[in-house]
Amino acid sequence: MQKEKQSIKASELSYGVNGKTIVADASFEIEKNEFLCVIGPNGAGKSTLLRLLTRILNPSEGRILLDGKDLRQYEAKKLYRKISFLPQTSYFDFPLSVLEVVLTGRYPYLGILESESEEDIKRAEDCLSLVDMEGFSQRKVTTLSGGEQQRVSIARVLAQETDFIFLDEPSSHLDIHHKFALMELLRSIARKGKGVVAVLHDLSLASRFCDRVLVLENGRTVALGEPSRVLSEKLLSSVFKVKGSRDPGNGNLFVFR
Amino acid sequence: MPIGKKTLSVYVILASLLALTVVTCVSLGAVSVPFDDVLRVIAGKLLWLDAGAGIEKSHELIVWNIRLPRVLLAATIGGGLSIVGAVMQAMFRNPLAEPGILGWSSGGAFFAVLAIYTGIYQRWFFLLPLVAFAGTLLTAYTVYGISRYRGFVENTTLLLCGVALATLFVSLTTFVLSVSNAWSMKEMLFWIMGGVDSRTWTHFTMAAAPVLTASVILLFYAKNLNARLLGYETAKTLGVDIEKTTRHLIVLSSLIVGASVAVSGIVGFVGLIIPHSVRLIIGVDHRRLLPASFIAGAIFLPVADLIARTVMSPQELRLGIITSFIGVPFFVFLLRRNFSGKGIA
Repeated sequence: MQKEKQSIKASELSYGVNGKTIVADASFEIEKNEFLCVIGPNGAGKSTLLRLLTRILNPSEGRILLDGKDLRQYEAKKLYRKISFLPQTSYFDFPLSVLEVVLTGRYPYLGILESESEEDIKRAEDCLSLVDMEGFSQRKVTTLSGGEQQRVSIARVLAQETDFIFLDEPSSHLDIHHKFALMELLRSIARKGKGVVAVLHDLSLASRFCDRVLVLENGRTVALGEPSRVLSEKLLSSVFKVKGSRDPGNGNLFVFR
Repeated sequence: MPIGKKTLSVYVILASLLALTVVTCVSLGAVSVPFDDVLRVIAGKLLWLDAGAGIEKSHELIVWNIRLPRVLLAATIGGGLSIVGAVMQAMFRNPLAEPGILGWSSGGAFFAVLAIYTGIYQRWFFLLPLVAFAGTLLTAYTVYGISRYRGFVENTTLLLCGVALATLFVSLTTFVLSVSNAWSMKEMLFWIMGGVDSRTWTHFTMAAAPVLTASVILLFYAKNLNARLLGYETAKTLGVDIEKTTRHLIVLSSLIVGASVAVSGIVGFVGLIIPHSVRLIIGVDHRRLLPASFIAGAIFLPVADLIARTVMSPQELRLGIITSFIGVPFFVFLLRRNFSGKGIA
């Protein structure tokens, strides 16, 4: 018997609200060990696509297979041991400690009255150092800056230890140093055999770090492939209304208008 | 996380304070009964010992028949309303949510008044709290339904809608009381400015059974509530079934609020004062916050009731007046803090 490939496979995925189509006919496959970026202008349906892939929303048409099984057939806790999600907005209105926030990433593994083990705490601390937040575990999240809060959220997602990680604008609020550090981290996680999918607005960053880019425009998939092939002059001007040029030395994309 | 030393000591302190509060509140009043006598009467009744022998009959009567049920009822309601406040604040991710402010108490009280003045409450012992529970549930769902948009609860709408429904139900309560033949100012005040005066063991049993049961079940939702603090989408991708467990939480909370208002009328702001104070000491994690809020509330309300019945003695103030006096400045403080965008506590 052939073992199902470990992947997320979306086929003819559509989603609409009140007759308005937000994602139309999206078909693609995300494999483990790749870093895929979803790019597109505002309102292209990027966030909605991520919500569909993480079962926050259910598609109007089409289906998503995770390791060969329909996403809807998973029991919630089991599903979220396989996929995790960083939403565009995280809420920190209540003064939880940084460690408490990161430990929520372990919840899918815990029984209803079960507490986090020492090992869970160790894992959470490790995830905090991955995002350059070691030593912050007892701080209240309400006292952190926006960028620090974002890094705590990313640590929370990493603590979930899932095969697939979805991130909606993970680099928002981050300074330039941590932006690069994050992209390197995400790429290294993908190299360790995980599927990483991120919505990004910075085309240069996407082009430089991702294995593949998925370009959305008005809910439709315009292109999918290696950034150097996909992000052509033609596509940049038609979809993003910008010009672009590549450094002949290292191939880095530079965008302007 | 395993229970830390600090948490453990907080529990020990709270539990000792609770025991001390009960004995003190039973002892003090228009007629003071010595501590010693209080303990002996309770021991005598509970353990069938002759510890109570030789105590003045009037003291025994005051302790066992008048004050103890009153104090224990106040403790039960205080604990229940506090745990519900903590649950509501996390469930709606709104630091100002509370059974009184969101109209739940008024809805429950109105239904309780209906049950009493139509006489149907006499048919079964638990029918009065049950009808009040139905009223609370109806109000809770109305407020929730109106403020919900595509799965998200809009905070301002939630509060305004709650306040509006609270006013409506207080008006309806006043209306029913004024057309009933039992009309009196005292009766109306009892429901609108709640209290535990002239409550008996019957009232205590009626409230305590549902309040304690539902409170214990709520403890099972502690991690669920923690996850909800991080927002709808995060909670959902941590495995929380938001829609289903919101129903559970509303039903359990309504049971507590319904059973409380059925025997004590509307006692406002307890669910605001206690959880916020407890968070400052013990933190936000609901595995600690829920039990600690219950105990702290069980300490607070008997003390507030002691103030109510002694401060203007021989006249008794309504308990609801005392909690409002403490609660409203608290509410204003939280409101200001909320607007400054700092979050709570």
